[in-house]
Amino acid sequence: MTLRLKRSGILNPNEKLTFSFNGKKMHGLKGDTLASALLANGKHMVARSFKYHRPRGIFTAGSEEPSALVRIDSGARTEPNTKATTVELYEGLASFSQNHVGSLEFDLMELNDFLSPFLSTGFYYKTFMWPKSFWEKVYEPFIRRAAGLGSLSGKPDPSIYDKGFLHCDILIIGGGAIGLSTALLAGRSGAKVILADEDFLFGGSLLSAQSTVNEQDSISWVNNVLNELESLPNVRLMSRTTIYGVFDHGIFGALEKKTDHLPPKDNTPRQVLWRVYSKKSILCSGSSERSIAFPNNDRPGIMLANAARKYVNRWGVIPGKKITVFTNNSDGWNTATQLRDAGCNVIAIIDTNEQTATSIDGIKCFRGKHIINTSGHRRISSIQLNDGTNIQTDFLAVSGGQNPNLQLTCHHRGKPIWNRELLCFVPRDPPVNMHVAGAANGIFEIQEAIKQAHSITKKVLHELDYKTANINQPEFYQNPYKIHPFICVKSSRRSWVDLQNDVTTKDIKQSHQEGFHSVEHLKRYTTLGMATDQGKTSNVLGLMVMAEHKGTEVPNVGTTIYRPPYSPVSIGALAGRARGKNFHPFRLTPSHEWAKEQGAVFVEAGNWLRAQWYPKQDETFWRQSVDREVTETRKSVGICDVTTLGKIDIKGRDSGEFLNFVYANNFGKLDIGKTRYGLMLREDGIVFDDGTTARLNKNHFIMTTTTANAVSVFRHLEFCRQCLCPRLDVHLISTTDYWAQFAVAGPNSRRVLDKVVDKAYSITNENFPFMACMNLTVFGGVQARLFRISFSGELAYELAVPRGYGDAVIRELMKVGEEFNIVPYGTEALGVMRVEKGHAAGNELNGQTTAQMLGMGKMVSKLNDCIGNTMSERVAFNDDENGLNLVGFVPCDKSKTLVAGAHFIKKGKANTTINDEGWMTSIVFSPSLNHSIGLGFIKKGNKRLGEKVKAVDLLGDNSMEVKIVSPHFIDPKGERLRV
Amino acid sequence: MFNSDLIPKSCLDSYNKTFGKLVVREVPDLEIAAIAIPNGQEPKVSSILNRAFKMKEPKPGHSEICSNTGVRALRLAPDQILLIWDKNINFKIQNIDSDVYMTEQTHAWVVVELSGETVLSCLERICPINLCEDNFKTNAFARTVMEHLGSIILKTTPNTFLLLSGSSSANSFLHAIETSAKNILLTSS
Repeated sequence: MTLRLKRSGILNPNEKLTFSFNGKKMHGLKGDTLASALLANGKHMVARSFKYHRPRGIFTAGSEEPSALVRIDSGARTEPNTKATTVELYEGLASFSQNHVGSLEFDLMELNDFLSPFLSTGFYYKTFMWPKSFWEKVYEPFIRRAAGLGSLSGKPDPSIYDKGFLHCDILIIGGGAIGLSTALLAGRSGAKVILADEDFLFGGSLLSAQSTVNEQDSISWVNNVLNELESLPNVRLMSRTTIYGVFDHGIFGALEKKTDHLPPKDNTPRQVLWRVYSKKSILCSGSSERSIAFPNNDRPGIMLANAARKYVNRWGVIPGKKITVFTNNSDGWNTATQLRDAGCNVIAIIDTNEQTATSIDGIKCFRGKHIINTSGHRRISSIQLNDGTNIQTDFLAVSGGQNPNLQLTCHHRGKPIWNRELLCFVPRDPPVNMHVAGAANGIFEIQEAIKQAHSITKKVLHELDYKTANINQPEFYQNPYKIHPFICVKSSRRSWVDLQNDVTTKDIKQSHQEGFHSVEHLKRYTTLGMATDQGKTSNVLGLMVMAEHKGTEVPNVGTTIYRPPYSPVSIGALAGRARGKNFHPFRLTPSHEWAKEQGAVFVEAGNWLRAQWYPKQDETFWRQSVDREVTETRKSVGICDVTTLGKIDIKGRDSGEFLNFVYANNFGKLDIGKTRYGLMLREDGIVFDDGTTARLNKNHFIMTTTTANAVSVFRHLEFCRQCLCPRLDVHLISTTDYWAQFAVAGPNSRRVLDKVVDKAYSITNENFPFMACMNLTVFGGVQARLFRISFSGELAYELAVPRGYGDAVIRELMKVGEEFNIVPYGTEALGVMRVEKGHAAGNELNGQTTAQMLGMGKMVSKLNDCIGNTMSERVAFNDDENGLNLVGFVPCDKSKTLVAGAHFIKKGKANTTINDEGWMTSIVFSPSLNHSIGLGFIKKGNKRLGEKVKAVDLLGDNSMEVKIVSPHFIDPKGERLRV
Repeated sequence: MFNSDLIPKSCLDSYNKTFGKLVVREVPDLEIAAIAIPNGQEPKVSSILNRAFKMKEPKPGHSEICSNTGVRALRLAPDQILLIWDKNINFKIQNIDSDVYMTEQTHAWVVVELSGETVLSCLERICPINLCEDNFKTNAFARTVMEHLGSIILKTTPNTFLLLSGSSSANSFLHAIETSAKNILLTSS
């Protein structure tokens, strides 16, 4: 059975679509929402309420819907808590009711409704107190299960989402009569305009009005304006787009539903989250109707009057056979007239104002009356008036007044102001450069609203230096808006204020009685307005009810402030494309492809993917690979991609002076062709980073930073250059991405490099000693840089070639190194070798470390003004009695594995903080020593070599006795480096 | 003596793909160099560029192009210029090396060209810059961030843009562009 008017509203009756609700096949028309299609199929009861599981119907026709929440689709695409009023119908749409045990019609949880005296607001704070242990395990899980609405599938969302950036001169929010007219004026004037509306059709209330504009019907006017706007290249029309938030500096958040109105398709973005940069904005978001609180006002078949008008005029739906209208304002009469004129059977109108002079032919009028109760279980069947009249009705349209949709004006903390005449909040202090026009500004008479909107637009255009185009103000006609201050019916029965959270006038009264007077307390105690509708139909009504209880005016109760989002934005849309491996970009080393071919296991180091180790076929455990890589490197030669280290070219006449300033140790006198270890301190004297810096010529240094600090060091240097040393001639450029850099380490490293370095260059120990550097060519002319530096403790070099050659160079080096059994080694072996050598790295430089702790106190310049040297003089940093020193540790029982993070406690002392003497920073298994070794900080460590202490790991319950040793486990004299 | 000729690899293997009315391709044949202007030499920039390229001095935030060689100069900052030129033209960077601090940058960047009717639709998904014609004219450039990656966007014709980003993250950068291109193609079809 289809309950449509012959006219079908503005829909084409021939464009039929099939959809289902709870598995039942139904038919709708293209342009329907799920709600209009359900109503056209006679389906009024579509949901169960949140707490009491009462039957619920469709209450509104837009994003303010509190009741008709359904689940769309199934499986991984399940989208619960979707407003049926905003779902655009498409062929094959599958929808389901939610929040019931058993069927929608026979919900076992309806028992809650009978238990309602025990389930009043905040009941869970007062009951379920005993036994205490039951709360977490029994009561709370049960309550949560019972109270929930829809549920997620628990599967990853297969839909894809995107995001983007838009720019405009004027963002017009709302595409109704005011928005369209404003956009036309701004567009014709040449301004770059974005017109956004959450509906899939522009026109707003004109789509459901039986009115004329400029002596043509309103739909024709809308279409004419749209045609012109579409022809303007400076205007972008964005339907299905909700402006959900106003952020700083003219930035707006917009959610565009791209394909939600189409059957789900893989790989097609559902929604796009836009960041809109706008110089000016005009809010033309109109108003939303609110209800009147009267007993049992939540039954299916009870709907806001404006919504009823929309279903009739826009979608051609007949909402009931015997329609009644209950109103406290003039617009309710307008609804009754339009429903009657559309062909509906309106049997009565009840106006709370006995002074109302209006009457409508053929409709029984009850002036000065109100509804004291309703009947009907799954749909309203009758209403009772305060004069004893009982009216049999199957549809009740309620109009309790208008609330301007001013939410966006509050996003910068603008507090709306109460208008006593209109009985609603109107905007005050909107965000900078935002103007509010029309009903959103409390101007409910459309002709006046258009006049004001045009005036605003002209002002905005003038501010943007656009000459205002000529435009005739459209002529609308509408009855003046008048409202009678009737908020709620006093009754011992429950009258619903917030349909989504099942908050009644009794709950508000109770909140008041229990001292939760403030609007913020009221909201949190009762959950009024906290759900997916964000209280669009309930907040103001709730405040009005609270004001009545307090015997005061609404402003004295408080003003609620709205925060983003205006309507719900899915997490998927917020995440956009940044999911899974797209969460952040990856940086690949030049040898990445080659390493992949070798079966390398990769690790994320910041954004870099680095080879961690290179397993061979017979190696089943990571340490087998790492031990082999270390052993083979120390025995012969190994190669490691160290491209990830930060590389900064420093050029300029004053580069040496600059380096003296940013490093704690001296660089000004570094010889050309030499490299030096550098220690960089923060202003507070704590170690910031370390690395080597080479001098290629008088005015050219190359700084190497740790991988982790490459960006922060560069930023720091730029700050120093621009702000602290602006007069120095120093220029910085990051060359990290330019150079592919390989560490070639091991006793045979020179022999390998000898084969690739071009003949013009000599790398003998005499010509190219430890810490030397030079520009050279390799492989017959490839530009390169060579540094004789070592992180591994072996004879070692770092060879840098332009990145494009990186892949070829690693392959060639492996080829020429074959005769020396060259091995590639990854970051794990790199780490093992540096610990064996006693080099500090990220674990040691953790933002708490001083130069003194590292044994480098004497490196800090006393002569030059350098960052951190003054603060490093602090007494606490130079306390020989209690200062921490970096030393090595070995387990007394060599079969045991040390634990990083373990704290050192003297033997015989209790494992308490007061006895804490330091901590283990790094541990590795040393294949060179065949047991676990570690580095760590311990009080007076340098003076305690040989002492045994406890390494306490309370977290892992893995404490052991360890011996303090030198941090240099291999080659303590550095002889291998210099051969 | 080593006698193999090593061949440099481009970041994206000369990627070239069409998405409807949009062409995305790597431009591997560009040379790039950064110029830092020594303190006190700023007044000489004009004559240096004129002598080397017969080019006007670009103001910070603007670019100039040499009509003879096609060498582009992007004034990234008052003391920084990025030079971009086709490696096939006869131009030696050493021409001005003695006057300024020059740093080779070719291998540091990946250069991707986007061209076609839907180029703006694609770019608005990743580029926060206002690229409309009166705000971003041909030869305009901007330093910006796309998908967390520092980048430079340069407009070479009304429907053609060059995007430069770090070479180490070239694959992620391309992925971001491809995703945008696919998404606009899918939602417009």
